[in-house]
Amino acid sequence: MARLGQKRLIRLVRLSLPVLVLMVVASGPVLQIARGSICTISLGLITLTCPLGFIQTSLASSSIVLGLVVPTATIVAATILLGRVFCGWICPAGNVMQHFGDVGRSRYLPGLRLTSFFQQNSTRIVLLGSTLVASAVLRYPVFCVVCPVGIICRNVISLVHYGSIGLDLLLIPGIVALELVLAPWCAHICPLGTTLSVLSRKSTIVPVIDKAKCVVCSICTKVCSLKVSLIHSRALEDCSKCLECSVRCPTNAIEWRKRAES
Amino acid sequence: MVVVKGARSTGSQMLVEKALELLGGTEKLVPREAAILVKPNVGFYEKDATTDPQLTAAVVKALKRAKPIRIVVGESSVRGYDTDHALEATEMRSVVEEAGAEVKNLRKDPIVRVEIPEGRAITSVSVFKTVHDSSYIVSVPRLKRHSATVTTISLKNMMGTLPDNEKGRFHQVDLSQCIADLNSAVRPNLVIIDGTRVMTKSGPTGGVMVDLNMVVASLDPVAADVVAAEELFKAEGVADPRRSITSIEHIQRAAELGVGVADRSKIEVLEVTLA
Amino acid sequence: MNRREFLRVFGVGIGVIALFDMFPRIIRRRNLVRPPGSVVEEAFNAVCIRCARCIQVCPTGAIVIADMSDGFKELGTPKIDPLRGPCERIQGRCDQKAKCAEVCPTGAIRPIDRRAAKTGSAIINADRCIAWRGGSCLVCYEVCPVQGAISLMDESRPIFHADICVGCGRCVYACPAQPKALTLTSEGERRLWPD
Repeated sequence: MARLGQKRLIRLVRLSLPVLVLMVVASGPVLQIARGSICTISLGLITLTCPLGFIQTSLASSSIVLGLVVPTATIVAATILLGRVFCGWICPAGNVMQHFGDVGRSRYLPGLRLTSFFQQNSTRIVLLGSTLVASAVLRYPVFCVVCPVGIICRNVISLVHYGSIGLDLLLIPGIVALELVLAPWCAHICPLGTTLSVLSRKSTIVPVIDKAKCVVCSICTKVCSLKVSLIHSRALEDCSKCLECSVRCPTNAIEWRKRAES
Repeated sequence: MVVVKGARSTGSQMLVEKALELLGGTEKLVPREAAILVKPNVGFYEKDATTDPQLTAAVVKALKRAKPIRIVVGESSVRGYDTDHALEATEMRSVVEEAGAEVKNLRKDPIVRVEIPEGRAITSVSVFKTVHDSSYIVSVPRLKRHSATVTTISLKNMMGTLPDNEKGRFHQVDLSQCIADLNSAVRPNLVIIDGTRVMTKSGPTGGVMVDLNMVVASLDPVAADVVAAEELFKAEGVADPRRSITSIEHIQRAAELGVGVADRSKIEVLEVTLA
Repeated sequence: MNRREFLRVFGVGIGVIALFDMFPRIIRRRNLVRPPGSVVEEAFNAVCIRCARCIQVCPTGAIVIADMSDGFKELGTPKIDPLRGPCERIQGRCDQKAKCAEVCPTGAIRPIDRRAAKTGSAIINADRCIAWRGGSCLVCYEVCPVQGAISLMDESRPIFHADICVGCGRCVYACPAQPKALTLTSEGERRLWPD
């Protein structure tokens, strides 16, 4: 699985798919391919809704929007089955964040205690929990306002429709700065990512190391942008199926299999 | 100058044909191989406030007999109204395209600057390229009252050849003089006024519609406006229609610039009523 | 988890909530003009999922995305900007049904009867108005789709009646004065109550 051609192809698809999605969003009703943004998108009769957006707006308004139950459930079901594929293949912010995560990993401010604090699982659960509590108490979907996916989509739409972008775009470098100081966004901070992780605990397809071929070089762990430690089978629920580990493994020891009953 | 009147059953086609016949026929009026622009009033979404599409189609059919290079029916609606939707909602687009002319949303055209050597308020004006490239212009307005200019007929109708910011400028500078100046440089060659249903009492929208079943046709837009305004005031029951017309500034100023004749006593009208 | 860790984690939680409570207070909100058929403002900010579908579908381009200067809670939600185009719910491309209400997935914008729709009112600054300064202009009166929303003083100067105005913004869009003599406010808007 480590042939150069395959590696390039996988990287190409992973980089271009989010761009393609954004182009579909930008084309909107003009091309009639899809309507909406990643927050809620309709392709023909199928509508998909961000689960975190659904939960936040439901909490903020103390009501459930019945029309969004199926669109949300669709994403939830897909995540339960396949894990965080959204993060690996669709999220437009993810690609940016993952790159900086690689950068940040080597340039964390030395000795900053906050980093290990934010790497704990409990911290990101609390972050998610507090955005939900904040939405319920403050009566607005707090994360939707600052969500980098939302910001990118809305600015793409406003740029295409009336040629202007907003100051909220500054939040993107802001989040990147957070990532350099605290911890990688996708793996440890993003509430949407955390939500998808929680749903992915039992995802059907997982990376599996063939012990016979593995030379324990730990490259798979080093290159994983979502900080899955494959060697130790840690944080498998964070796996976004981006295929980077299997592509980079020098001995082709990683396979993608249905989760075995253990 | 021809005024053709009929009954409701007469239909705009017959009124238009008769009027043009009396003027000499399109084959004689229109130069050979002309690039014709027909400019109806499609300023709004309502049929009452806009030129009758059937009448416009009749004009197109008559003009085709002059064997022009092309006939374009074009308009740029009142600011705040979308021209494509207006063309659709009034059915102007479907009816005229069926009659065999190209329908153009002028608002999408490139813009060209035209000099107005005799202009008093403005000395140049931006118009749409199609207007500039046309060699024969036919103004086909609906006869209506107007809150700012008293009436809106063939002279005011020419404002539909202007891009939005130019329309705005006219109001900032001096609306009546600018209309006169515009018509001195972009002068309609032929005017066919839709008096089938006219808007009385107030306008350009929301007035009282009256069926006059009339067409006024002329080669002089000023004279046509004068005669048509008189018919409009008569229909309203205004006491002294001819005197009221002297208060319509843009018509008087256009006459001063030599666009046409506003002195009613000097205008010869041939009036015909079809049975 | 020991006590110190618990406190830290708890502190993070409280910190997040406090931040999101503070931002809307620092970045002051303005009364935005919302699309026709919008629910009341509290509910609107709560339920709008900020998906921008209404922006995509509005045929006149009147709906735009509220930005930072419109408020933190309001950021990303739709508002009407009459300088981009009028709202045609009353007369025009949406007079059968509002396209924004049709596509809104959360019910922040709901279908409303054409006769009940009122997004706000236009107000005039007579110091800037060409007619009130003696010039010849009645464009607002000419383009207004609602009888009686604008009346004329001495047949030449416009008077605005907020109680009849439906807030379509066509007059604001068409006003030729520079700077504009008209603004669209949310005054008198009709909002729906979510049940």
